[in-house]
Amino acid sequence: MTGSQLIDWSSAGVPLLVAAGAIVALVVDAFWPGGRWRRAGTIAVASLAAAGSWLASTGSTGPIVAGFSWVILLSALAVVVLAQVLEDDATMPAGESVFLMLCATAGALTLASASDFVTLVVALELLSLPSIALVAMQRDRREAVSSAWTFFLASATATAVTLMGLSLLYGLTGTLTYEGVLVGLQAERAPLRVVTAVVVLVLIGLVFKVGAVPFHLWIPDAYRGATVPVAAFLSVVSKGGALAGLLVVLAYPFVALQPRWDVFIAVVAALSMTVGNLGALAQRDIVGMLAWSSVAQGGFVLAPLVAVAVGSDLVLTAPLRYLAVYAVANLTVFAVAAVGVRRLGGTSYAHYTGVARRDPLLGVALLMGLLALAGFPPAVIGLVAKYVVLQPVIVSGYGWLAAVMAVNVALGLVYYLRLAVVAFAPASRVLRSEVAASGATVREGRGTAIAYAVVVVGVVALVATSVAPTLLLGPLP
Amino acid sequence: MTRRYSSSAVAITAVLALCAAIVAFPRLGDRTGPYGSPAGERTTLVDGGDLLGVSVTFYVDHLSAVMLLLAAGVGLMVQVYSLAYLAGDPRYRSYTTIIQLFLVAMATVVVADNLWLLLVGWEVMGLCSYLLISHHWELAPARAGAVKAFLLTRVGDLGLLVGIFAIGHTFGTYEISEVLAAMASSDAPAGLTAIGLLIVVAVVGKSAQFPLHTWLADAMPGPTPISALIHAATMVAAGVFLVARLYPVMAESAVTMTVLAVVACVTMLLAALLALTSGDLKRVLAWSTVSQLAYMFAALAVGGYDAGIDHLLSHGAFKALLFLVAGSVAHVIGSTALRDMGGLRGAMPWTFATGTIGFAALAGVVPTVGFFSKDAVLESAWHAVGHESPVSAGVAAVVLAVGLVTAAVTVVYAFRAWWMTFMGGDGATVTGAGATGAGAARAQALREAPPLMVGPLVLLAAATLLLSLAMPFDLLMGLVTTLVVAGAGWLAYQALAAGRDPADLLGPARPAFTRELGWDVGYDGAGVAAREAGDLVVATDRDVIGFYPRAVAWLSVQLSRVLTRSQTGNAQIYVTVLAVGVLLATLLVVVR
Repeated sequence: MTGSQLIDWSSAGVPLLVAAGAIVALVVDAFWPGGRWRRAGTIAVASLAAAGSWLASTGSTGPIVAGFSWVILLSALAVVVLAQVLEDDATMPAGESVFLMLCATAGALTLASASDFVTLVVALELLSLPSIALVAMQRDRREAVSSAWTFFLASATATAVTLMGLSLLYGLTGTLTYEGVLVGLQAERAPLRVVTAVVVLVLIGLVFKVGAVPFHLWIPDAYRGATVPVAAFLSVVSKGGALAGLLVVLAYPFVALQPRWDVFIAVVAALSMTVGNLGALAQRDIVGMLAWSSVAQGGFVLAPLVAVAVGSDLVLTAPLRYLAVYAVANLTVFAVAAVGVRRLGGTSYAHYTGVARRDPLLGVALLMGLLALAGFPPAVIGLVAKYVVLQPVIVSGYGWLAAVMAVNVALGLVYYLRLAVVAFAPASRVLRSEVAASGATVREGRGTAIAYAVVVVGVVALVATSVAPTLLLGPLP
Repeated sequence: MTRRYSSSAVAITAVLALCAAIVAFPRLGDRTGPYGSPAGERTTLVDGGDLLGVSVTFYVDHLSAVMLLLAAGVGLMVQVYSLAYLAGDPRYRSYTTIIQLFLVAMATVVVADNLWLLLVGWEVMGLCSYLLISHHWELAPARAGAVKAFLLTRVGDLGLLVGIFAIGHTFGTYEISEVLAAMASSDAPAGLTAIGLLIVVAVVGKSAQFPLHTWLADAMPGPTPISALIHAATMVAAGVFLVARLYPVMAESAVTMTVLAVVACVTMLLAALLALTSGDLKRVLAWSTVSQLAYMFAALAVGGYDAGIDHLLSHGAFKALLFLVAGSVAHVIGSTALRDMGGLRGAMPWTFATGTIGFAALAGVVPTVGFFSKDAVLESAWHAVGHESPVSAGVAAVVLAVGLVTAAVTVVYAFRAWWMTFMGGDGATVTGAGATGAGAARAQALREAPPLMVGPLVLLAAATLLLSLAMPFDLLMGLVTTLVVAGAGWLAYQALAAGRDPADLLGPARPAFTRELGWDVGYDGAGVAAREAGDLVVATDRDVIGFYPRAVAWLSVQLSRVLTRSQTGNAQIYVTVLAVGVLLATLLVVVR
């Protein structure tokens, strides 16, 4: 890298502003304690807004990266607002939580805009370590600590594999910038199989963060161990950053090797959606269901990457579009879960029996979110998203993968609709389950009202984009 | 509660009508012909583009404007009329809501540019029709009629669906305006007979033409205002609208137009004879609707595009009026059977006056709108005999002859229904009235319908007269039809004055027509066969095919339990799985 362009401010500015916000939140909380969640949240929102305006004025390095950055920023914003429900939770300190969330967000943004592999690994760690700390935050809960521990070990292993791959890649090409690797791989004289193995090793760390099978085992534990907003963060921001990094790496430096690694992506995608959906079938807890469903959705979002070599915009924008729809739908359902923890006293299906009859808006939000995830009308936007990712797979000739996707759409319907049915259960069943859930404590503060606002925004967004899908898909590249 | 809700129902309908008027009025002056480049205005609400392949686009021209105004006007009249007609009905609320849904669907059909959007409106109309026919679902005939209407129109809908696919395949677009532009260009595609015939199937179902004509009469157990709105003025006319909308596509093929002409001729005369023999006022009107719709198709088939549209508009006005008159009569005497009526002219002067105008228009008496529009239809057939037209001169001559005969039959049955309802003394039996001294009791029991019902009657009667000003006039054909009207009317009067039923003129064929030719026996046989086949399919599905999904479901749940149990929280196992995964992934790409 030459001295004249040491720092590319247009892409570095966005994560830097978020990181600065993180430090401000931590320092303010350390020196002036007592501000609690509202103040930390305000700082976080301000820094995310600053990063957003920077992104709007500079446009980052390209439309795809900018699109991913927007999805990550807006999702982080939603999660930070949603985290206001934690004010009722004494075990979650405000300053530290917001600090860690913003740090991880900065990592996810860097992952999207990195242009060499060293930055990529640093960003990966910047994303991972705060995420692990967030899961472990409630240190009095055994479940939280043990799931953070497995998360940490698995994450360290995956990063180690990626680092091993990178050292081999450096040995092969003599450089670690994306451009250098692309040129190096095109001129490579080493056996193709060796080079492909190296490339797959490099990808492991990113695929791990997306949560694809067989690197998914940490996900259900981590989601259950963490608080609901943290789980929402893991499922959208963390996954989005990793996906952005993966797309850039595959479409830019590794595209030279394309007819080799696509089978790896295809198998991982097919396994993820099948195993994720099967795992979700038996779940009777909304967070547990969302954990497995996020594994399955990870498979859907990976699938169009098999067609990267086609090189058309259709393929490159498909993961971004799917991620955007998934983010809106998933955050809506997580917001319902976060409100549910406070209002209904828990996240098991028993707590949600007949909730739509007591609180119709919450019920409609849950229904629209679930249907959008399932890709089922009237949540048309979810259907459009499924179509968007299916199209490149068929274009690239992966007929069997398209068939697996179709079967999995049907499989997903089962458990998404089951929760919807539970939420709209008739009054006779509500009475019984309320007796069952009457032992739970119901705490409610201003934070819950703020989280409820996220639910409202989510359902409005889902309905509006279902009526006019171009509202969401039009601005994306 | 009903009272509170009713004002908002009318208000919403009025807003819908206002919107329709705002959209429609500027386009009324447009060129009306079907040929040439499309003259309407195209608006895009949502551009699906390449992403979705389906756009929400509207195309409003003169034809759409006429249909919009007709639907909105009759819809508003019916909504006001229903205030009194259905006062105190427990399901009034759902009733008005479905009417509003129907009006939106009808508007969608007539202004849609995208054929898929049109199909959506078309299907929603069918659904609303089904729901409203079965409004009194506690009555068996209402349920049966609704199911029959739904199933028979589905046959036509299938034709429309396949037709849309065929249009998309042939023209490469689903936008009506682009299809019309392609037809107007020099390299218009040829060989459109298949598409034309599919559209004919679609409209035969929707507009109750032969051989799917029986559902409309059985739809009459629905509330009478619904018969006026959906089963006379608007929905059944949507078939005529569709043919007019795609007219260049249809007219390209002489085979299509000949088939349409033959269907129209058969339906026209058959339905008129069925109307002549029916003993129920609403059924008479239903069969006459079928017959009049056939006139419109006949006009379109022989190239009389404007005549078809004019007759559609005119029929919409006077048939809505007649149904509302029938509703008014039924509201007062509690029956729709002709033998329960008679001598109502004294008790119900407003209903009598407006009903007379309506029946005159149906029969085609000067100066009602029915006279002018029916003349235009017959004139276009006469024109087609001597000039170039979509069908051969022979077919046009048959259309003209059948049209004239049907006109005579129409006069007879219209006169018969009018006489038996309003004239004929008061010798008829009425529910609740005794045998002797019944006249006085009856005269006391009978009174004019409430003002909320009379108002729409007067407005529609005014429309029936005033719309004449907008109609074309051909002197020769006018003289011929006036002669037909006078002759047939004289014949009917002679019969009725002598105390005979003019339906007896059919002689020995009358009982067959009274049974409606046993057409439904065939449908019933088909129904039984379909049910048995259905039972067989269900049994096969449940016991043989169903095994596999159930087995897969069971297996999935078991696998799910295994996966959940594998989440032990043991970090050693997790990292081992991860490492094995890395190994297998590497192997996968290496050995490929």
